[in-house]
Order: sequence, then structure tokens, then C-alpha cells
Amino acid sequence: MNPNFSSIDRRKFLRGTGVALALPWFESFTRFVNAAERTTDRKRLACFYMPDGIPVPRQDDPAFKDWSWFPHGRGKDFTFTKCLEPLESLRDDVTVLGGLSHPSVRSIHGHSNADQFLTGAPTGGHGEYKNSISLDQMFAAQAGEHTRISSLVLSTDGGTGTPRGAQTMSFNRKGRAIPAEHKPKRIFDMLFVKSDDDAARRLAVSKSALDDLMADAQSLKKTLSKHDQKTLAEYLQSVRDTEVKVEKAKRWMDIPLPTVDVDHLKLDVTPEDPRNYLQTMFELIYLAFKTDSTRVATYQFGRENGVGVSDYLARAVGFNLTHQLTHKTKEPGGWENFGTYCRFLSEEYGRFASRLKATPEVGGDGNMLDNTVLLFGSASSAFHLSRNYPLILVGGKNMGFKHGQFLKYGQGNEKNQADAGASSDKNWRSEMNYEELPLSNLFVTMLQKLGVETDSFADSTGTLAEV
Amino acid sequence: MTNSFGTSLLAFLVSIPAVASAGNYETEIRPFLTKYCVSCHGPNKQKADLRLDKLDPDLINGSDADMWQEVLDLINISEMPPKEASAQPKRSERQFIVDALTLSFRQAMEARRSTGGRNVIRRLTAYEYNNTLRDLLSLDLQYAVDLPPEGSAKEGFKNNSSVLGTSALHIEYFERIARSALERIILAPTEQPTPYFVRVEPELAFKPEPAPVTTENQKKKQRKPKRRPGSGYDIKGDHFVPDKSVRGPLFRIDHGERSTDGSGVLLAGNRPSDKVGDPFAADRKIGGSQGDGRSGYQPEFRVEMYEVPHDAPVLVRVQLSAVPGKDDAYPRLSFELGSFRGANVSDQKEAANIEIRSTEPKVYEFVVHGANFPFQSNKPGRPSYFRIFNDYRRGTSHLTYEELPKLNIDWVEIKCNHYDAWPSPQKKAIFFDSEHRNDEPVYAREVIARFMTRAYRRPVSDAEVDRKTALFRKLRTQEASFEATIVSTLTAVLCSSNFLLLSEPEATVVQDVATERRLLNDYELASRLSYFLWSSMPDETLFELASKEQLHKSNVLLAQVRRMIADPKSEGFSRNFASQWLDLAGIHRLAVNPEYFDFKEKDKGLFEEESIQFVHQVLKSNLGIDTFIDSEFAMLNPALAKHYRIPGIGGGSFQQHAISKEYHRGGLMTQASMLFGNSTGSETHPIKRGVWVLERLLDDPPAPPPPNVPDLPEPEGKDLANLSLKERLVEHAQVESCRDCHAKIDPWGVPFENYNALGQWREGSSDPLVHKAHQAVNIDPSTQLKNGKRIQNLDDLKKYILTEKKSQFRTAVVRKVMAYGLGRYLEFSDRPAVDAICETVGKENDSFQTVIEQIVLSEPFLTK
Repeated sequence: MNPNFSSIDRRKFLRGTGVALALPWFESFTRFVNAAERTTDRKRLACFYMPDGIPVPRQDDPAFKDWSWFPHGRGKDFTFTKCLEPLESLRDDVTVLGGLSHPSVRSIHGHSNADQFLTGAPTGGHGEYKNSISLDQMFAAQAGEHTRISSLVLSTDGGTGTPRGAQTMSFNRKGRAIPAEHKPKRIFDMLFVKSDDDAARRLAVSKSALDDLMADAQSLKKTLSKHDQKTLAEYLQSVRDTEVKVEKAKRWMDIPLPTVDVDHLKLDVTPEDPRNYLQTMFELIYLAFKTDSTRVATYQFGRENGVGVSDYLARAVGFNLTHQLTHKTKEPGGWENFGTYCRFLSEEYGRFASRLKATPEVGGDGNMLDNTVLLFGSASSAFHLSRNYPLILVGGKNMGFKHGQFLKYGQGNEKNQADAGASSDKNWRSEMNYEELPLSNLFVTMLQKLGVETDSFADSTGTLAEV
Repeated sequence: MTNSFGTSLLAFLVSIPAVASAGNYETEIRPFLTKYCVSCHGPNKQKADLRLDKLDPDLINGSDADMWQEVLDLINISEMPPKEASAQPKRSERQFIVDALTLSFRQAMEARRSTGGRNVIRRLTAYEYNNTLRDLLSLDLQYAVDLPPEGSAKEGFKNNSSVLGTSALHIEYFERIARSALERIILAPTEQPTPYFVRVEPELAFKPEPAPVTTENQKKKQRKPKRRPGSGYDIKGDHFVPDKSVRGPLFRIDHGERSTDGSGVLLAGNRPSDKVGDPFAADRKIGGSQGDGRSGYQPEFRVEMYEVPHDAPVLVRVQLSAVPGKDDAYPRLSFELGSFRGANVSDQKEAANIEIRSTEPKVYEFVVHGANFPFQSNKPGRPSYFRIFNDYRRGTSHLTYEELPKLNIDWVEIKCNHYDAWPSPQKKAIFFDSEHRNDEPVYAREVIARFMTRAYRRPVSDAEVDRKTALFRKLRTQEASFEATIVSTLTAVLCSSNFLLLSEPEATVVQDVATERRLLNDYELASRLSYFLWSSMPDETLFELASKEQLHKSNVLLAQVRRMIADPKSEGFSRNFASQWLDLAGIHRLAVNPEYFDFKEKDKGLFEEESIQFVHQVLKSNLGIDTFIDSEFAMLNPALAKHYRIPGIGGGSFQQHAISKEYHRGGLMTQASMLFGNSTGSETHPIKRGVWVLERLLDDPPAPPPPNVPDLPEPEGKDLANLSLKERLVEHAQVESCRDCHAKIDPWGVPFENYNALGQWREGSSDPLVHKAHQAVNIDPSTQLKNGKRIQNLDDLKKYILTEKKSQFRTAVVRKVMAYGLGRYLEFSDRPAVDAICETVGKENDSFQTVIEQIVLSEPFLTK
């Protein structure tokens, strides 16, 4: 509500370089949480979603060499195309994956599938809708215990969107969408700005108030029909979730908030200034990780089908609307245009990963990237086809992630030529005469390396040894 | 939809309203499957592992709905039966089965989302929440800006329960917003804050005639460009600044003239140096970093203030008079609050914009809240400012500078930290006078009970008050003061389901099922009315009528509806209903292609505002709903007139202007909001425009396209790439599977071909308003409706709707307003009510107000 920047006391901010962030708060933090926990035990996960798929031109297309998203070659012996070239300097920390997809939606139009990218749920193309917990929330249930904020949920469009039109990547235990924050200023305040000097009292107050809200709702419930009770149940669940957050906040009360230098942040930026917006969002995740405010983050670059402000992202590289690029690949320069946009994302994504790599793990070994695994991908590849998801894993060496490779799973589509060159959505449920592995196999593998004891996720059938 | 289907729909719904199956299965669907499909997908063969004769025809409870969708789609795009099959259905057979299946799916969807024709509990929308806090606390702030964005239901309405989710994030925001608003009011300092005051006598900006030049040094100086009065000048104002160490305020005038009697300053909307030229040419200069086309070239009266109390009410007093211009043109007083954010970067927002007609000096007073404006600079050391423009601009008229109306400003006073009384009236409304004021427990209960009654929009039970006073007692030991405890207790009231949810208890609930309809009580009715017409809570008058149990009486209801429409808060209806009905958000989903147009993104706001103001005008002036189809006026401001190339429109904000035929404007369909929102951002898009007309104006949405058919074929290879959009459309309709659907859609979009993607008029074979490379177009608005009716152009289409489609259009408007008013989808059980309303409306000259009145008097509105 306070529209101004006044809530931040600028004098409190440290000026200077990143190293200056080895701060006194950190000592009290370690004392509080667990004196025995070494910071190298820290594990982080961030997931990013790119809507609209990627360029998959046909082999005989002149654009194939430079603007096919998937690298050429296989295993350790591969070359990035121009789409992913910005990641070359990170090559030894990067794995590109192909041949993975969620089986339940392989014949559902790509426009409907952002919802299930991290969940693997059979969300379908129409009718009843039910989702399930997302990868990040599985990990957050464990990692969230160690940090002030259990996970960051961000997107360019904000909120939850609609069923099959998600504007968030994250879903809770009950499969309910978790609204994403989209205003840099709000995200910053949540992470680094103290809302009240009298936090202890406020939390005690909140606890009592929440009990009272439950009582109110329970008494209302008696007068409602079944249909209305469902709506009320959602409200009740929200109050319960808030209670959990308050409980947690209580534990963190005595630990001062980290202070960070804000001078380089453009907190008022909007997606109409796409490059700066994207950089600011990445920077906020970076700062959240660096200050150990959270160890889990999702950021959806845009929602599917070119609806919403996220469709402006392509303006960063001189195009009008992002989604249109996917439809115009057959026009002169079409593949290149689409690829140029993908390259822009790779640049920003690579910049973020490089920044983690350049930052030593505070009080631990190696750099931050070694303790952070990044998943970047889309639920469609060639023209809204919900198969052969384009996926990149970066970082996490200390957790045992192996890199410097292009892994292609499945059989029968080795060269990514099935449905290559499609320029309309005609093919989105074409017959699938090749095999792919469930993406959930990757998720199980990731969860295990992240220290979550599980041997399954959604419809997984195993793990991926190569990762 | 063919006639036979209309009948079967009716029969279907009457016989089994709650169960949709692949309905007409036995008579319509099974015979087709048996004839063309079962030989490959039946008992003998199961190609693709599919056996159609065993599919469960129950689309709601059965498990085969997905498979049925697949069947529908494959038949629809003529992929099944395969070409090589010997038995091929005729086109008409194929169309028939597709229609039958499509209809069944629609019915199944309706049945699934059915609320039994009853209103359901729902959360306040973000905008309703904002307005409710505004009215509850009598404090006009932007409360909802940080709430997560909200979606729209299938038919476009945001107040539908199905799209109003609640999450922990919401609860956190609701808590934070309520607490901070209550703290602002209740925990305000005991001492009244010191005001910051400045008074400006603008004539002081004009120096007396300079002394004669005598020395060489002075001559040298004179050769340098000199700031002349009227081109920009700083003086110190007469002021009271609380902190004496802070730099005093500065007054700056840009291109004002000293008034003839020397007592003030004359401010025109254009600079004297602006030449009257082609009114449609680009602005001479686009000022400001935002390119808002305003600062930087418009004469300006500005007061800059350092470290001003920005988060508090501001009183502005201006004494001025009008100097009318030619043709009865009157000046407009517009003022803004803003701040500098860097070198040449500023941010500001308009606070008022009124026409001044009095030629005698009069004092005008305004109170606004600084928190609603970018009034505090985010760069330390930069000033906040107040500025006045004359918002009568030349626009597309040919008034010379001398002929322009001017503001004659005598003086201006600005007082920040302005409070008429202390404690503030808002605080006194919560802590009212009472004989128990000194008895804390008793008084607390009184305060809480009174606040709850308004927040819950109904009388509260003793048990409810008990619970909150118990909370108060519990918190009292944790909080520092009585007032702080009240803040926390009332925050809980504002996070309660009783405040956030609009709910109407059932008469009786037996085993979770509501058993009977009941009339709403008067308080529930008051809330339905106020959220319908004001997007906010009821006011004192409605509460009072409710407490006396008078509100439900028809004559009282009617009088209240009229009063509420006349109230400025009815803009809440026009703004929210129009935005959702007409899908004005579409404007912002789409970007203008810079290869085609020079266009300022900011001007999209004009498109949106035109349609909102138009709907509001129809409501306020009690016009007929036929005005939505065609009108002899338009709601314009100079910038939009320029966009439409309509000459002679000066002035400031949106106003009603009579429009002659030659400009081709009238009704909603010629507004840029619809025309642009349903274009591609470069070219027109007849399909989107046609679908918009069918969905929004005729409530006859075409079946959704099979999901694997693109809007239009993407150009494959050179041939198709060179085709114009309309030619591609024709190409598209050549595909057999597309033809039948498009015969129903395209003719409703083609007549708009005279309007380019930005909604500007064009004819013949060239569109001069588009960049050179794209000017050549072959504009042909003529078409033929599916029923054979020939339509020459949009005027023809309007006539057709107003005659032969009149009743369908009327029903559509009634249904849209009703769905919005009830906050739910309409269902079959609402049909009789809709029909009755339409009949009355038809007799009452189709007045829009009658539509609203009759909905309020209808059974669905009056009952739960």
C-alpha cells in the first residue's frame, strides 16, 4: 500500500562490493539454526520456465546449423548453436537434455502445459482440472526449514493465472497454485525490509488473530451448502497456511534481516523494459540465495499462448511480441528471429549462473553455483508440441551433478527431427512413433541429489544415472 | 446452430437438466458411429486401441470425456474417417455430428459448473476490496495495487466465484493492507502534524522593466540569451516550512503571460509559439521521459517543494477566472502532484481536471491524499512538485493562440498535512463519543461492534461480538496501548471470512444440501445492490433502509437504483462492467507493430477510457441500449479525436461530441478498443472481430475451433506469405473442415474492414495512415451472412442488428448485465426471468437503466 520507497532506510544499506556481504547477521544465523550445519551442506534449487517452446528446424533447412535450439553432437562431444552459445563459458557446469517429457500430456496442446512442467500431473486439455505438488515445493518442504522464506515463487505475469493458463510454476501439496510475485519492489521488501520493529508482538498477535479467523469461518460454515463450503474450505486452508508461515516467522524473529546494497537494483522496473526486468528478477533470486534468505526459487518467464505482459519480453531483442515469433518461423529469417530471442534468454540465464559461480560460498568450499542446481526449460519443443522438452541443468557439482554433456534420452528421435520444421500447431498431437522417458525421472534424480529421500515423483519410472 | 438443434437443446435441458451425457446419443451420435466408425473401432477391430461403441456417453460422470473430445476433433478436421475408408460421411452429416457433440460438451460444461441457479459465496474482487475499504474507512487510498492479479471467468467476468481463489499470500496481503490502513488512522500522532504551506502570487515572477543598460559588462550580458518573463522563471514563494533548515519552495512558470491588469498569470493550453498547422500532424515535441506529450511543450505553472510531508492529505486552493476563447471555448483547470526522480525524469499523476466557466475570480478548493501520487521523490534531494496546466488544448481545432481559452490565475495555496480537525474524522468515526468512553472494556466492545456491523454489512450477533471482544482482551496484554489493541482487533475483522466473502446463508441446510430458495433479507439485498452498481459496500442510506426493512419494496428498490446510478460511485459499474463485458483488457494484451504504425503505447489508455466513458454516458443519460450499436455522438478528447482524424475537437477530458456521418463513428463497434483489441497489432483480423461481435454483443459464441487448427494457415512458402490477411482468410475457408464454422463467423468481422488495426477509417485501395510499405490494401467490407443476407458495410450490419437481430441483442445485453450483477454464470433456470426482463425492457424503449432496474426486481436477484 505504501507506494513509496520510503520504507527502506537507505542509510542502513551497506555500500560496496559483494564480498562486503559477509555480514554480522550471518554469524547469528548459524548459531541459531544449527551450529553443526556446515554451509557446504547447503543445497539450492531454482527452476525457470520459458513459454512457447524453441526453434526445431528441419535438418535440411539452412537455419538448422545455427538456429536449432538443441546442440549438435552428443555426450561430451557437442557444439552449442547460436541459441545456447552464451552458455559456452559455463560448458563444464552445463548439461543439455532432450528426449524427456511428461507422459500424461504428450498429446495435449503446448498452450495448456506450463501448469504441469514441475508437477507431472495429468492436467488434461479441458474439463476437470487437478494438479499436484511441484518439484520445488517437494524440495522446499525440506530445505525451507533452514531459511527465513521457504521458497520464492516468481513470474513475469504474477498471480496464479487460470487452470491450464498458469502464471506460476509452483503448486502446493494439494495441487493448488501458489500465486507468484511479479513486482521487484515487493519481492525485495519481502526479502530484505523489516516490516515492523516490534515483530515479536506482531507475530503473537497474528497467531491469536488467525485462531479467531478460523473460528469465524467455522461458524459461517454451518449455514452453507456443499458448493459454498468448498469456497470456504479454500479460505480456511489459506488461513492454516498463513499460520504455518507465522509459526516459522516466529522462529526467525531474533535473526536480523540481511542488508544488501540496492543501488544497482531497478525496483520499479516493469516487463515493458524487458531486459532490465529480467535482470532484476534474476538479481533478486541471486541476492536471496546469497543471503540464504531462501534456497528454493521458481521464476516463470512468461505464461503460455502469448497472453499477458510477459509477451513483451522479445522486445529486449527488437521484436514485437514473443509468442508471434513461434508462429513466424517460416517467414524469411523466422528461425533466426525466434532463435535470437532464445539466445537472449540464454544470455541472461548464463549471466545469472556465472554470477553464482563467481561468488564464493560463504563459509564453505567452492562457489555458490556448485551448491545450486538450476533447471531451465519448457513444456513444449517444436511448435507447441508437448514432447522432447528443451531442458538445461546447470550447477550443483557438490551435489554430484555431472556436466559438460548433451544427453539425449529415448529412442527413435535421435536427431530431434520428429515434427521438426512444423510451422503450425497442426502437429501437436501427431502420432508419436518414437519413445521418450518421463521427465519425472530427472526430477527424482534431482531430488535425491538435493538430499530428499524419495524414489519416485509423479509418474517416474526410475532415475537418470548420467545426470 | 440449426433449428433442429435449438429444439433438441431445449428438450435436453428440460428433461435432464442436471445430467449431460453425449446427450442425443441414441438418436444422433450412435447412428453416425455405427455407420462410419465402428468397423475399425468396434468389436472386430480396435485400431489405435480405440473402441467407440464402448465409450461411456456420460460426459459428466463418465470417464471417457477426453476420448469423446478426441473423436469430435478428428471428425471435425476431417481426419476421421480416413480418406481411404470406403464409407465417407456427407458434409452435412459431418457438420451435424460435430454440432451435436459440441453442444453436448457445452451442456456438460454448464452442468459441471452449475450452482443450481443460485448465487454462491464468493470473495470480494481486488477492485471491490479496494472500494470497500475506501468507503468503510472514508479514506481514499490505493489499497489493492499489490494483490495478485485476478483472472476472468469464461464469459469475461471477474466477480465469478470460480476465478476468485484465496491463498496464504492473499491472507498476508489482506492483513498487511488492513493493518497499515488502520494504523494510519488510529495510531496517528496525538499532536496535529505541522502543516507545510506555500502561497504563490504568480505576478511576482515577472520582473519590473530592467534598468537601462549602461556598462560594457551589462551589454555583454545582454547579448547572451536572456530568460524572459513567461519563458521560465524561479521565485521563492510565500511559505511556512516546518523545518527551517530545508530549502524553501520554488515557483516556476513556463510560457505564461502576465494578465492584463498585472495581478496574475494567463495560462493557455498551447504555447504562443505553437503554430496552427495540420491538426493531425505529430506533436511538435514530446516532453518528459515518458513521452506523455504534455510536459515540455505545454505552458506550465509549477511549485517545487523540498521534503514536503508527502504521505498526508493535501489542500489546494486556487483563485482564478476563465478567459473564454473563440466559439465558447472554456479553459480547463488540471493539476498534478509529482516529483523529480533524476535529471529530467519526473513522475506525476493528475489530481483534478475541471472546466472553468466563471469569468469572475473564484476560489476552487481540492483535497487529495499525497499517498495516491508519486509525490515523494525516490532520489534524495530532488523536489516534489505541484503543477497546473490548462487542459483546453487546441486539439484538432484551428484556434490561434489568441483565440484559445485561458486560465487567469490570481494565486495558489498548497497546504500539505492538511487536517480540518484533529483527531481526524476517520479516527473519530471509529472512536465515537460514548458515555462509556472511560470504561475501557465496555467501550472497546462498543467500538468493535459498531465497526463490525459496517464491515460485515449486516447486524452482528452477540456471539460474534463476544468472540472479537475475547480477542481484544487476549491481545490487550500483548499490545502497548488500548488503541494499538483496537488496531489489531479490527485488522482481524478485516481479514474475517465475514468481511472478505460475500455470503448469503442458506434458509435450511439438510445434509450439506440447501433445500429451498428464500428471499434475501434487506441487508443482503443492500450488498447485492451496492456491489452491482458501485463495486463497493452499501452506504448509510441503504443500511438505514435495510434496518427498517424497507429496501425490498419495489418502489423503494427502484428509487434506490436511480439514486445509486446518479451517484458518482456508479462509475464503478461502468468501469468494471464495461471492462469485463467488452474485454478491454485485450487492448493491453496486444502490442502495436512499429513496422506498421507510429504509436505511443500510452495512447492505448485512450481506447479503454473511450469505451468506459461511453457506457457510463449511456447509463447516466438513460439512453437506450441501441446506442451501444449505433449513436450520433462519441465520447472524445482531443488526443482521441486526432487519432480518429475528427477535426474541431478541442478541450480536455472525455466529453460527449455530436459526430456527423462522414467520420464513421457511433456505438461500441466503431471504437478503437474493440477494433484494435481484435486486430493483430499490424493488420485487421476479421475472425477475431466477428467472434467478438458474436460473443460480446449477441451472446452467441461460436464453437471453439478444433484445437489443432491455427487461427489462419501460416504462410508456407512464398505463395501464401504474400497474401493479405483477408485473402488468407478466404484460403482458410477453402479447407472443408473450416468452411462451415467460418461461414458463421467471418461475415460478422468483414464489415469492419474499413477500420485498420488501430481502428482508423480507411477506404479504397490504400491506407495512408499506415507506414508506406504496408499502405496497399484492397478494402472490401461487403459480405454475406450465413442466412444469405447481403451486408455492404458496417452501417449495414448495424442496421441489421438493430432490426432483425434486435431481440437477440437485447437478450444478450440483459444476460451480460445480469451475469455481472449476480456474480455467477446464468443457467437454464434463469431463462424465464431473462425473458420477462426483455419483454419489459422492449416496452420501455430499450432503456439501459430499465435493464438494470428490471434485473434488480427479478427473482434471481432478490432470492438466494
